[in-house]
Amino acid sequence: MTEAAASPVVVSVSNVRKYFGPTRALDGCSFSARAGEIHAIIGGNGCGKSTLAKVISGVLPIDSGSVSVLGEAPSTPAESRAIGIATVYQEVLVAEESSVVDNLYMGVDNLFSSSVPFEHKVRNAAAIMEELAGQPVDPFANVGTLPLALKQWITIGRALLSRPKVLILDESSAALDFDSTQRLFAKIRELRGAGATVLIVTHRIAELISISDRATVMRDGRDVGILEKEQLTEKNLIALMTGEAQEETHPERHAPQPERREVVLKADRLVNAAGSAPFDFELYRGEIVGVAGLDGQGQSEFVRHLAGVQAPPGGEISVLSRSGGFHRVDSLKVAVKERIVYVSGDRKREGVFASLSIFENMTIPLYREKKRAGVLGFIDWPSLGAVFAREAASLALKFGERDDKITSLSGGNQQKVLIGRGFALRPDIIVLNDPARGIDVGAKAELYRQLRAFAESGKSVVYMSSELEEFIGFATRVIVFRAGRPFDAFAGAAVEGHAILNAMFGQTDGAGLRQAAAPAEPRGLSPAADARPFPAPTPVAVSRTPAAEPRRAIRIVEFGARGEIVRRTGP
Amino acid sequence: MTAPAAETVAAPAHFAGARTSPHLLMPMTLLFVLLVIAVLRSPVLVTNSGLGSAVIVAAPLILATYALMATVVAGRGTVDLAIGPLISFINVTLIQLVAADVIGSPFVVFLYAVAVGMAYQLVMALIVIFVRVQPIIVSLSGFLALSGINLVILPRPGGVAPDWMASWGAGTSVFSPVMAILVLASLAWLLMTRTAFFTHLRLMGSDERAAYTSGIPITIVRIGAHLISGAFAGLSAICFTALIGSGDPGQGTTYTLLAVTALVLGGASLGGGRASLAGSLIGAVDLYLITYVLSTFSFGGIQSFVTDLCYGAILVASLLLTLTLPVIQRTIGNFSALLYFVVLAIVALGVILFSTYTGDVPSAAATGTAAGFLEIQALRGAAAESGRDSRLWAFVGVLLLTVPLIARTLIVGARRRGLGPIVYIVVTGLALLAVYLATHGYAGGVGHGSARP
Repeated sequence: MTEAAASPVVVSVSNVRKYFGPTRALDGCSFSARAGEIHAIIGGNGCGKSTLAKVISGVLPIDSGSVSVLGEAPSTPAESRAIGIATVYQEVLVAEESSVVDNLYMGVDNLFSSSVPFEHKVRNAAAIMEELAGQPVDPFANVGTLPLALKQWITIGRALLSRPKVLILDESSAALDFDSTQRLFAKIRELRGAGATVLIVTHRIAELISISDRATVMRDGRDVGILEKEQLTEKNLIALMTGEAQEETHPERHAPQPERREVVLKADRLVNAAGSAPFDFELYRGEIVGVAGLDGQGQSEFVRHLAGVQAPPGGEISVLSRSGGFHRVDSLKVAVKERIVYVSGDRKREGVFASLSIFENMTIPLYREKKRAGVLGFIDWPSLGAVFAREAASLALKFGERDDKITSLSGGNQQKVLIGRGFALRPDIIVLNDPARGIDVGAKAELYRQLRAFAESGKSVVYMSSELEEFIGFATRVIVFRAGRPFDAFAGAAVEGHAILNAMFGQTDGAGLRQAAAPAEPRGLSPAADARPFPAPTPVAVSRTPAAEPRRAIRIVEFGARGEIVRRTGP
Repeated sequence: MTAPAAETVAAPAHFAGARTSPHLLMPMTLLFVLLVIAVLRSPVLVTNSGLGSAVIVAAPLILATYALMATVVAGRGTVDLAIGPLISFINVTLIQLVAADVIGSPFVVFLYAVAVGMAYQLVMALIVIFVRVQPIIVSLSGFLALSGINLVILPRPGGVAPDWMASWGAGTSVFSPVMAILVLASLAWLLMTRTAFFTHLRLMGSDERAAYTSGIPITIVRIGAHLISGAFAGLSAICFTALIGSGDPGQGTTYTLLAVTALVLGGASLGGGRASLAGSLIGAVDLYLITYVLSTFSFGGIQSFVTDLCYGAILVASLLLTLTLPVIQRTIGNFSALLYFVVLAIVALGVILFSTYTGDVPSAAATGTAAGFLEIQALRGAAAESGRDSRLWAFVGVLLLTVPLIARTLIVGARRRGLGPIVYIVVTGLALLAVYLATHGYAGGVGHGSARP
């Protein structure tokens, strides 16, 4: 710490404002980072951390304030590259039609001539990809044919090849698994050792605590505090990130606890992805099931399968029909008919019709239902208007005119419209895929209240989220996914942040699911506090990181619930 | 251990990803199928004058396809619909300027055509970049505006091309000035693909944001792509003028749709980032061959309708077959398009030699397995008699087969990136052959055997 404190400030951002229309992405944000440190930028969704990264890399021009990196103010990516800044953006930016070499050396060449001989490029490309990805990658392969994780490595490799003085990683580990993240961290530490500044923008608290020297916490487009290494704990971070809001919402939280177990939806020998192990799942009336997991562990596919949005590679999902008896859900049509509603947090791709009005966005699925004049099929606008008014009021939707475009709303309000669309269908089961992504604390509290009321009225909720805090005091039980299938389950008082985090990193023994091997009933419901072997406040994942060891020396063997080898790496 | 676990552990044995894109397979197959049909229906195609006129007729389309290719690679769906009217525009203004004696010498005519093409494309590039209008709209406006202007400049077909250009359109020999333009233009494109500029262009076309955030000067690269396109459009207009020998305000317009068809047939992605010289060339030649084959059937008054119908049907069929490409790619991995070309060339040349030599139509069984036999038959025949065209084609055939095969083995041995030098070797070989044949008038039969590599 002391030598870091003595080293010069490399990145200095002061009082920067950046507005996108009415949205204040950065609202007087200040930030500074020194040479030879790993500095994390953290904050809730939409707090402006990605915007800050883009401002430092010169992608976004600022409205006011000043940015200085190594004494210069980059205003285009080309300038920032010349200064020695390399940024890995949240989006996986690769040219799919080009080769791995060309992608790795993107932007390095002069306009007409190569600045590096092609043979060198090929050699370095092969070396760095093998080192980063842990497997040989053909430097001439078409990037479009590679899996997502390798594309992500290409963007990281591109940044590392430029030998940056300032490296900015904006959620760059999203597509990487645990081992890959460790390799990335080893590389980052190497860079720090060479005196570079590394800025990490992340929402993964555990990763952040394990790697960073300092952290700047952001909220609502402002920096709200800087934590030194010793102060970096989950508690401190969350306290800063949420401010006072959490204290207010916490007391009124209580998870719905249905009295009897009546199965309303079941999955038999469901296979999430080709090659992953089959499993069973049952959803009871009146409960809220939380679904968690590290990114890409199959939890997102799971909820999509349940809602009939995507056909599973194997297994069968059936739902208790209103007419009695179980009906197989094999298409979205059946799912809609059996009143299963899917609400996605990916608003752009699976949610809003950007060019339609707020009103239409909410009522569009009702058009078939609310028809008049027989075959002519006129839409009954007045009754739709009533539905809209009711849902808008109950969701406390803030909007100007109901015929305004939906894009005039903030992300949180857009999400409310989508949830209103779901409720308007009067569903029995509502399946939510990370719905709280990018919405503010107040809107979240509102959402929880709605869903709790919904569950208490005898309906069921499946709630997938990437943020653990959401489940606490909200979900009846939580299922943690790993390697495409449930890894552990928590219920009642055991729904608690550290335990779930441990399970996500594979640090529990899967006791909550112990009986899952017997195909009948997943008893993820035992009061599991005694079964948690790692109730440690710090995520244990951190202690598993051999900090400075060379990569090849690490050998990790993971055992599944039945003692089989799930994954093995290293020599 | 479960099966997936075993896979995970064993995975690093192979490289990830596939190298070559198999987009050339369909146009190549089509090329040889059409070639064989064309030769069987009308063997006159593979004579010196037959090929000569084929080159003259196909050249404007090929160059127009190149012109389109340059901007399509740049992404944003920059399909320049105005290419046809632009060719016409250069054609009619050229004819009028020549008639008014403003320009006349070959150098000035070339300079004028290329400069006008580039100037038009520069304007379009600036509008696309700075006004941020969608390229397709800009090019559509260009199409309409230029079509009208052409009719104002030259209300009906007429006028005469410059004197020195008059003989170009005769098409009596393969080695015409138009062929020289075509070869030079192709070589220029190949050289351009070796520069960092072209890499920037492809990266930008594939993902503009990735290119911008990596520091590629995308504005300059985009303007460059348009300028290259304009230059090729100018060359295309010269070849078009040579072909019709006069001015025509309307006919050039047809090149728009033909060039887009050829480009798509050649495996280019209209979304950007992917297009190849070989693909565009083959695509354009495919279209020419379709017209040629159909002209051997007599459809009378509905000939042009049938031709259009076939363009459309073949394009759709080819795109449908393209859907199978991922499957092909998965099963055969790093498939060599060149090897496929060689195999098809052997079969096709075998059939062509057999049929043109004996005058018989070969049996339907002339498939790949019989190719070797056919080839030997043909070569033996070539040695026995001294039919000029057959001898020429036997020699070219041998050259086409042996050079790429040797090259291929060298490439595999050296794990090189691609075929860069080999293309030049083949082209040089063909050029030397051309010079030899031109000076000796095909009579020096002895030299052929020893010149074989």
